[in-house]
Amino acid sequence: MQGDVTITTPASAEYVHILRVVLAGILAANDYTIDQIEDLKIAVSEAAAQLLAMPGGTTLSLGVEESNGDVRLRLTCDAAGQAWPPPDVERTFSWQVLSALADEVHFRRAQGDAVLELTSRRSGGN
Amino acid sequence: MAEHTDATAATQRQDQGERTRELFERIASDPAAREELVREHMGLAEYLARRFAGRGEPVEDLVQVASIGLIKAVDRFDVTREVQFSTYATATIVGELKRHFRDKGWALRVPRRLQEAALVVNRETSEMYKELGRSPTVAELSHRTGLTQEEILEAMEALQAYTASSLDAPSDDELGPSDTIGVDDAALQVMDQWANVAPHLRKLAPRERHILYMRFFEGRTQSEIADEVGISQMHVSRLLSATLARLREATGPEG
Repeated sequence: MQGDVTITTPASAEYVHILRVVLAGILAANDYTIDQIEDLKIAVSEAAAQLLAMPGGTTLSLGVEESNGDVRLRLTCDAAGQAWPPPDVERTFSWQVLSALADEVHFRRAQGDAVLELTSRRSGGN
Repeated sequence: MAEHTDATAATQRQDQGERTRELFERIASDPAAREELVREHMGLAEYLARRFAGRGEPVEDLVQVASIGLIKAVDRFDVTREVQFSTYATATIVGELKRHFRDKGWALRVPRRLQEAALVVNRETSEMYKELGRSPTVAELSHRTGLTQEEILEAMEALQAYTASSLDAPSDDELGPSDTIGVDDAALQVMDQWANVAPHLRKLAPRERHILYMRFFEGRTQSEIADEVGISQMHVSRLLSATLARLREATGPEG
């Protein structure tokens, strides 16, 4: 199954499980293992919690790009004007968790939105 | 006729309310009043317990839980408040029953069909890991169990709501002290570098801390951890999620 999927919800913790379910469906259709699926679901919860901790966001979206066993998750929140990435993010416990769950972790700003990008390679350490 | 019956019932209710009030007035000086209040409302506790029957917990246990709720209600009821004791007791007993389900079993919203699927998925995921030497895919699980892929995904999510340790045999559920002490010291030393998280990590059960350490610091897979600790992979996943959520709650966003 090729192609990108993006789902947008209100920026509220109650919607995060919907993002998890959508992600699990995409990964299942691409023959990811239960271990990988569960890991990336945990990663989505952790990443979403980081984004939702910023005040002022109205929407939270998850983009999933899967190709040849690599999956890129892009979580975006439109909370503008806040400190993002969080100070010293690479030294936080959350970073440790995210980088154990995905092969690459990037916090950045894109067009004013706060973005957290996670890349997981099927052949990678997970 | 109907009017007459209603009037009689209303009078009886009033009489009982009156009697309850009397008992509460005596409760401070007369321990027998407390017992009598509990005895007189035991019917209410049993009735409420039965409303929670058929959800996988024996009725006797539920009655026990409801009785505890009733005793709490008797001890906490404030007679000066404008609320009937039966109303207050109902809320307290139902609260106690719900907490029991949260602590001991499924969150109440998980339908039985899904509970059953979840237990199958839970078991077969571990079995297939042993056979394949790796975690199975959803398609493989579907082939094995006869459940559709959607049902399996739903079951995986539902397992997150299962709070009972009875997903796994109780004897496998705890690491023996000799297994944990050495590793746990290492885990604590490493994790101490996060000053804001460390105090909360110290409060975790040793097994949860150990699982967290194996997954996020040693980079071992959930299935490997499950195998080593002797619980199911789904249980490992749920413990990781729950522990992270608890840590986030305790430390706030900057954690």
